[in-house]
Amino acid sequence: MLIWIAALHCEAKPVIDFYRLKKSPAHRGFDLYQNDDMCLVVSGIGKTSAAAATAWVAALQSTCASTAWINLGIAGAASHEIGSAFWVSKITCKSTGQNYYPVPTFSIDFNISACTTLDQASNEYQPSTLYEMEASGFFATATRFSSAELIHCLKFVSDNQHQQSRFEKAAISTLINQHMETIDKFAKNLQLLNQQCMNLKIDNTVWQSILEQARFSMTQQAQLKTVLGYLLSQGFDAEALCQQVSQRTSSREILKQLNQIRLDQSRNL
Amino acid sequence: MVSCVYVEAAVRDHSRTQKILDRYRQTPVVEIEHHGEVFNPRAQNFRLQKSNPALIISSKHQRRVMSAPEGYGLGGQHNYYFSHMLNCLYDCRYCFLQGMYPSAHQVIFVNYEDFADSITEAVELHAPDPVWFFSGYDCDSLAYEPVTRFAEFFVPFIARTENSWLELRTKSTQIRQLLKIEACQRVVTAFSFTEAYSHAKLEHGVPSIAKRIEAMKALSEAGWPIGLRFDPLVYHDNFTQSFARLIEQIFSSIDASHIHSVSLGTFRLPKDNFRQIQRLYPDEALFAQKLELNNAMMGYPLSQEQTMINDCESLLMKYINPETYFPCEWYE
Ligand code: SF4
Repeated sequence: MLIWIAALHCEAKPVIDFYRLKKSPAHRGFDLYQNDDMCLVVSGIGKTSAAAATAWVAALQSTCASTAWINLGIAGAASHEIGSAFWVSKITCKSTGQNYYPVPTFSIDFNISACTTLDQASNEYQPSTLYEMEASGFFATATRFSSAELIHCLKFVSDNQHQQSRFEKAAISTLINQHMETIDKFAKNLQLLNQQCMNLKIDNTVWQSILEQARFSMTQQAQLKTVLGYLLSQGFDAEALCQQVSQRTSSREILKQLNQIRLDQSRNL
Repeated sequence: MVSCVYVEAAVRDHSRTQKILDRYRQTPVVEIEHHGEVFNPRAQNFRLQKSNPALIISSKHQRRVMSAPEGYGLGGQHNYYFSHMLNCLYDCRYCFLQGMYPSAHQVIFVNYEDFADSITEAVELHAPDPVWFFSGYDCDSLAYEPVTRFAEFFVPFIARTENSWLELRTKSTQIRQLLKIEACQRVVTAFSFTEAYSHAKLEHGVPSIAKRIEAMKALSEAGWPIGLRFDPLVYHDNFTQSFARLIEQIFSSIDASHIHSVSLGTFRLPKDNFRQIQRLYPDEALFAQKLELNNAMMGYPLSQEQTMINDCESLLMKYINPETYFPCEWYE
């Protein structure tokens, strides 16, 4: 699952339109848009709102084996051109001084910049950083649910030293929309990375059907997870494995049989 | 390829940093306060990072030179290790570094002169006894030489520091720097090998056995003492035959009288490292083999371990002087 967090509807709109996300009528608290493999939450402005929305949607998606995240929104910059797009390499929370570092693991077609998360909008500009109001709250919260390689911020310059006037909502959408192809490429790479993590997890339905075969203690469940994780990664069919152990009556016997299959399979690396 | 270079602000202007940055002009550079900010956070996935790690340029202020663990050594009385780098260019699936650090980024400590001071202090403490320094505990000593210029600095330093001995531990073929200078008998370049089958299965990105033997030959012919480390020995049905082929291959190229030291040890990992690595690589056959817990280490059952060691020892003894043999109590 890929989760987008945007502060404003006008920032979210290009993503909603591009992926044809549908608003979920069932959820209150935050506006949620979704399709089968991604969802987007409109958090509202500020790092606290971003953190709350991130935690809220993480709880909603807690059954997902692995989750990737993108915070997307506008930012101020000293001299970068209006409309230029950035992948954020370092997030500094202005009020706490805390730094966070998203981890690049695939090639990134955006410019790269540090960004500073402010508590309040400001017209102060420094050349070395973008300014915005959500990234630190988003990142600090998302790292409680996913590893940093799966959590990223994309920022689009909406104002600079020379042009400080506030953008109309439609103009903000247009500004982000012009990068939608690059954003999509980034999102696809991130989803691939996330898929790698998902492939190493045991599907919940498979896990439940094995657990139904006998009563496993907590220790046995941990052992079962290791054995099953290995066998499934080697292409063993979950149903066939269930079938094979269905004759066994005790959890010990099931574990013993699966373990033997594992030892035979791994003997020659 | 590195994905990004993180540089500690305090060493941004260091000449070694500048030389490294020159090599990565196209790579994004991010300034940081301390390498721990990027390297230590828990919410990181070593496996995901390993496919495209970043470089972190830092300096080491404390504990630069550490006493080696009990049993670590080549017969010397005073043994130390030091790490100018954390993590490795290569990706050996049995490597304990995978479970050691939360991050796969490669950290380079550029304050070599401070390391040299700490080495001098240790040498003076034990004078006139010989003192051994092992590099390549938290990294491969030579693999990153074109970037780190580690050997370029430390080998001449050891050569002029009486009573100091250095082991460079490597799986690389980066010997160009050593060949440029006069051989020093107190610097042992120890090449690690696993036999061909395990090499193919487990040592990702490591140069071929043939290339490493070639490098070893060139060094020994230039007069440098050479070490052989058969560690870890990894079990499979044809292990013994494959190991026999490996040592045949080595000793058909290398004059055994040029060998300074030989050691071997079976695959084993500290229990906690093992758990961590197995969680990262649940699909890896090595960790699904028959392993047992012994003295807080996960390894092959003791009887199997002993058989593997005995078989290898008897094959080795056909070629080497027994005095150069140091049964291995440690793992790489
Ligand atoms: S075992 Fe040695 S060569 Fe292999 S990854 Fe670890 S440090 Fe590098």
